[in-house]
Amino acid sequence: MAAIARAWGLLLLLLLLPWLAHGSSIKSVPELESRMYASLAGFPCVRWLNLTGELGCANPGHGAVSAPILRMGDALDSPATVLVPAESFEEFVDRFGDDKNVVGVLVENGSQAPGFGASDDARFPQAEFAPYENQSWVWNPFGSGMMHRRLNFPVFFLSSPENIELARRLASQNVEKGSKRPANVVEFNDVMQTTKTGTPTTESCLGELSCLPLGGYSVMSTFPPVNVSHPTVKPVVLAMASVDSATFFRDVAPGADSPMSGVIALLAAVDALSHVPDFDSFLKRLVFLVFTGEARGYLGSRQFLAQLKKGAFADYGLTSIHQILEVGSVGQASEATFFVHKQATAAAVDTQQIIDALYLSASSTDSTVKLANEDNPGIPPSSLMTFVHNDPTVAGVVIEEFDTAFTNKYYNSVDDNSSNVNLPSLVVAASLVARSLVLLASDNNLRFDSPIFESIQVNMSLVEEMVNCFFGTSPGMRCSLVESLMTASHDVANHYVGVFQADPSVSPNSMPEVIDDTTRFVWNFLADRTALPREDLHEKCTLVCKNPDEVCVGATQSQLGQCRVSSTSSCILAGKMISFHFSQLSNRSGCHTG
Amino acid sequence: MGLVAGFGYFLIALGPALTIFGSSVAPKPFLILTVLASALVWLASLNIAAIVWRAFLPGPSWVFLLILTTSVALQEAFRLLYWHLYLKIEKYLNVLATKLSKPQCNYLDRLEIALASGVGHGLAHAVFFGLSIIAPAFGPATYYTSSCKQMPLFLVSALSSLAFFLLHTFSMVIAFNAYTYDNISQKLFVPIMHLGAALLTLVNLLPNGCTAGVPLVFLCTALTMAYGGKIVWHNLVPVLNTPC
Repeated sequence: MAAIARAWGLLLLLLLLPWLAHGSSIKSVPELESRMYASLAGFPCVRWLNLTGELGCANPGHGAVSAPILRMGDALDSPATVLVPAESFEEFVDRFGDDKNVVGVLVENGSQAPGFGASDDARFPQAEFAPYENQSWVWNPFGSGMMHRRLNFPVFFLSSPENIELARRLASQNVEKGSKRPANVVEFNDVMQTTKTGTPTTESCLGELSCLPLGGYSVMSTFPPVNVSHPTVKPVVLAMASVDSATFFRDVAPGADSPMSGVIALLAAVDALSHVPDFDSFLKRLVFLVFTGEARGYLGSRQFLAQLKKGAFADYGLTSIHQILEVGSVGQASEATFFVHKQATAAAVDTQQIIDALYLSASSTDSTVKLANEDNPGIPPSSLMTFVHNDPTVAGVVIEEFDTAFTNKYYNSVDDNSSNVNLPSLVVAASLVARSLVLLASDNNLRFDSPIFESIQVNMSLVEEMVNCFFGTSPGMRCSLVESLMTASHDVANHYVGVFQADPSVSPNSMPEVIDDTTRFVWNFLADRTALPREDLHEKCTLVCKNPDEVCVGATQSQLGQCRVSSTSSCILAGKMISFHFSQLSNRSGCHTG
Repeated sequence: MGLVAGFGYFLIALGPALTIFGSSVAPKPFLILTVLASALVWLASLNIAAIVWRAFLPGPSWVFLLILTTSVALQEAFRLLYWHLYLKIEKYLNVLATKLSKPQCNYLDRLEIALASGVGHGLAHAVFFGLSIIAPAFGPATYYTSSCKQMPLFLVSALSSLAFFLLHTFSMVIAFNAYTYDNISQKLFVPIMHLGAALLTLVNLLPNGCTAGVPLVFLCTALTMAYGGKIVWHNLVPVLNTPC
């Protein structure tokens, strides 16, 4: 009985206990699990392979790696995940890139905005494609070359403030505890490897099917549209731009100034030209080309030329090229001054006609066009390089905002976003391009004071909308301009070229997930603006039109498209250039209408 | 850690259970049935308590006192019920034995059935309270609560399950003996120990409480095991062959 009395005493004491307890309680096992794990979403640096070997980042083996998280500057005497501020990343890689204790790296925005503060590309991007010998010319003085390095650990970019805060907190907790358990550990479960070992170059991995080739769709549009059954042959003026960018982190490649500003200027120019009457009567034909894959070895332009030489575009009346006008980076020109770059070997008369057209357009649009410095070794990194390689006498020029070196501090950088371009520069560039193209198409038969010339007006709100759509996050690609022509798959446009996984013979518009939003928009936009106006009601469609001269434009999730007469096609103009795959790809038709 | 940790915690919680099962229960098929039946009965009692109390959770922390007290009271009521059920079954078993000219059940049989019933009770408790919490331990991460930096939550849970398993196993032995000989202090010992151990788990809620809470529950277990052992030792020889 005495034992029982004591037990009751104990009970009374225990009655007080719940009030003394602190801490939040866990209500269920799933809640317990959610407290054990947190997912840190980030943008990866991925493994790339080229002809000579590997670039980029990957887990060293085929399994996930994990290590306790520390900050840069903490002692690195055991395997650790290091949290590095963006501005110190290059220094970190230089000092610790080969350190066995670095299991993985998380890059955070750091104390200053913007992030990296540098261009990830080399000081002469893609120098190996230059059609001249001086490959040590510094076109990109801000370039760190980071994206061409090979790292043997995973690197992720944390951009959201919550994730960065969480990572910092976990790292400082680890440091406070020292080496005592429990430690906060980061596990990198995105394994980036070829699926078979021993395939470190493009040739071996594509042959073994242990990797995917880069590839995408470029868009080509003739203006005015051709009659596919009897195409008339006219000298062709090519107006081109490229749409893809590449940075250290694959999924963060906004590419606003380089190269998207060129695309925006070109599209705005096409919009202005679509109001010019009687284009059919002009002596030359305009062909608009928007390439993809240029940042990764000029894939688009090289494939285009290869297919052109095989006669793949005979249906479009395109067998040879007379003149080329490439629109490069034009988003941050200072004082509305643009520079014309040409190769010294270009055919004198035809090239001069382009330059004169540009001078004339400049004088009528309150802007300045200057010839690039003679000391430049040749044209800057651009799609035109491919054409010059093919034929050094090709009459082509590139319009850029810079003279002897890039003025864009964020060429191929995560920070090349909408704050890196300005509207006035884009609008002026578009006017220049539009008026020059009209002069070229008319073969100088149009006087610069003719009313047609004066009527060419670039729609400023269109340019502004495009900037918001391509570089904004919400609504991003779900903006009204894009929604009127197509339904986007993602809100935020990423300008990475992508991997080519589709069957080349399938029409890309039938599988929107195969072709990225920006390219699809460019296709629809060009098809819409270059199409012939029709008097009667347009036939509705979802994918294809019966008339081979027509394409289905503007089919979205909420409305049917219209069949318009337009010669706009998306061409598979990309794919890693390996002879094995080249033959596979080139056996099928290069372009699809729709 | 992963699999190693998960199995480790599992064995901490139920290792002795497996040993007792293997050595004392498994050789006699009837005892295996008893373990199963007992486990089901006790799971039912826990479920009833859980269903009733789910409606009042989450709630203020003093609710824990009420939950524990009422659940222990419910379980002790079930124990009495179980005892009466057992008496009935024993009667039928004796009738059957007579028909088959087999010996009637004796005190040793009753002890063994009591042990098996206790194992069932302990297993039910371990499965209900321990295993679901230990399940996440099979992953790569572990978890420490803010009030217990010394041991992972899973270790505390596994140790608690172990303590309660042993407590319940031997409580049943004491209880059967108590009801057989109508011994008041023995009859009161089991519910009080059960309630005491249950309330002592609340000590874990205090900051650094687990360093005291877990050993205290083991203390109750040790007392129960000692008491049960003493009873069996004293009663074993004299009454071994007396009819039940």
